[in-house]
Amino acid sequence: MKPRHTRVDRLVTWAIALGALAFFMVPVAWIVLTSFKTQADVQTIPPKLVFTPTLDNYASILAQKQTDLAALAAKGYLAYKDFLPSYGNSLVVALVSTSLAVVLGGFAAYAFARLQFRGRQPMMLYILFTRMLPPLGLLIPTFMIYSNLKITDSIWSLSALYLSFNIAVVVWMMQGFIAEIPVDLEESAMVDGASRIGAMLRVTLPLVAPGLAATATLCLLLNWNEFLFALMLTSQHAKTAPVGAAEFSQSFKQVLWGSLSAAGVLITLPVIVFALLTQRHLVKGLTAGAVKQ
Amino acid sequence: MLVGPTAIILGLFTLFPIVYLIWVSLQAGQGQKLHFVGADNYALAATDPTFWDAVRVSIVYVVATTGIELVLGFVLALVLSRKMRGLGIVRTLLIIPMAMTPVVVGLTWRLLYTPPFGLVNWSAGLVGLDLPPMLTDPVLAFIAVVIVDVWQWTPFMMLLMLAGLQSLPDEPFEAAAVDGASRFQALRFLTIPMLKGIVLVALIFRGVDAFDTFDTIYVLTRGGPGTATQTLTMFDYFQAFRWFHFGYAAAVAVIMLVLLWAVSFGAIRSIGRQILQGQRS
Repeated sequence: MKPRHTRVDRLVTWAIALGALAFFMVPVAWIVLTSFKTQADVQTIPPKLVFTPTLDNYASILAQKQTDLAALAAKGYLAYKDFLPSYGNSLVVALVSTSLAVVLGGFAAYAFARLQFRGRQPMMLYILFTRMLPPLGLLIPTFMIYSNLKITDSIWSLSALYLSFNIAVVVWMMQGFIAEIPVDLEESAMVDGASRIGAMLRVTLPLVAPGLAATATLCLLLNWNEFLFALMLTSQHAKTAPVGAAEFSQSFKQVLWGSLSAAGVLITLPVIVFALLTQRHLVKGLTAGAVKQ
Repeated sequence: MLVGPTAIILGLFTLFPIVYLIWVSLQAGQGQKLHFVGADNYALAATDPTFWDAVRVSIVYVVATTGIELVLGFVLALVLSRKMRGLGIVRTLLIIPMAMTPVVVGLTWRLLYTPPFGLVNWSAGLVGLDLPPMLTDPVLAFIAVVIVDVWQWTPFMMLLMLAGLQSLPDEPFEAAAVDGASRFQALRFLTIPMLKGIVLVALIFRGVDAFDTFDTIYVLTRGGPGTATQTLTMFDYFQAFRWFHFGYAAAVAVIMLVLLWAVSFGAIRSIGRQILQGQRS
């Protein structure tokens, strides 16, 4: 059936669409604008839409040389300590835990989808159960265990923790995707002499690649954005970017909105670009399990 | 062999901590110097008015955010699923809020809420509304954190509803059109009943996540002013990491765990039934 839209239809549709666009996009646009404003321009009434843009905010959080820092400090930009190291930590933690989770969880998902073994059912239920775990329920014991073992403030112990979050996501999503691929394909490859692992890697893996991409995208996003566990389990060396930003917002009596916005833009830019590029996968990942299984 | 590493990781990082959590919840003391007290922490929670206050805040927060997000998300999905040129771009742009780092979302809104130059108070002033500072007034602060949740997660609801709408069969709608049903009737008697299953799933997903909200509230209000935005999650965070009452905090976490599990288990069972019925018809 070909839908036909009257003029009123169009008007109502676009009124709602533009209203939604305004509500959802103005905050995004505002933090981008603010990141190019001097502290004086941030605080004007009425708020300024037109102003002379400055790159000083970005310079102040990225500057490394003492002379640059001193020049910026003279203009009133206080130091945002450790932005780059925290950014690097976030990157390493997100990538390490996602890639390990995809490999290890992928194999497990395959076993859950294809093989019958003891403990299969209880383990799947358990994984679903961890999805419903309140964060404090995990943070409190983990904090106590990590402190006793003296392994806090390390990107590796944080990665290991994220790995355990991700692996549950990977197993849950991937076993659904793998189960959708007909088992006959693998069986005929095995009749032709391929081993079980060979059939899995050469036949099934290419077919579930889009699902795998969706799962990895979701894990990367979750790791990059995670805050609570990073806040409590890191302090100096392993601080991640969101923790650094929250810290900076409380460092001085007056919030330096320009520098903070610049940091916010740099932190969210990769996730937004990534999310828009992998849009289709991401939507699939987020809605998997909710629509038909 | 394939499952081994996964089982070990899940055992070490989730199962063992949960068992340890339950053990800690039976102890009391300051910091990590604890002694066994049995169920005292649970008894304490039952009679602790601040605990019950946090329960109340959590319930209102979860109901308000998921309710608003469901309605807005459904309306947006209906509108944006129309086949008109240009709407695809709008759908794409609406993904941005939910991909954004929650801490940055919180900080962005804090800027918008900061008077007098924040956009919220300033634009309220334009229409003659003299708002007090949003984050220091108890009622407004609560509304403020709800708005932030709605801003970030309505797009997620919209996506789920869009996926649901796209999975609906065409035939009933064609038949209804032939029979002369109005668009409103098609919506009321076809679309909404057929989406029931996915609406339930969406409500559980969002409900659980809303209950767990920490980042945005931490950055915006820290549970304040007073206890106006102190949800159970914030309350428990303070018990553990401000007052170092690990035993009590662990007991509250166990209560949350049982609560979440019971609610979602009940809901999942009813969804299972819905899906089965859907397949039969």
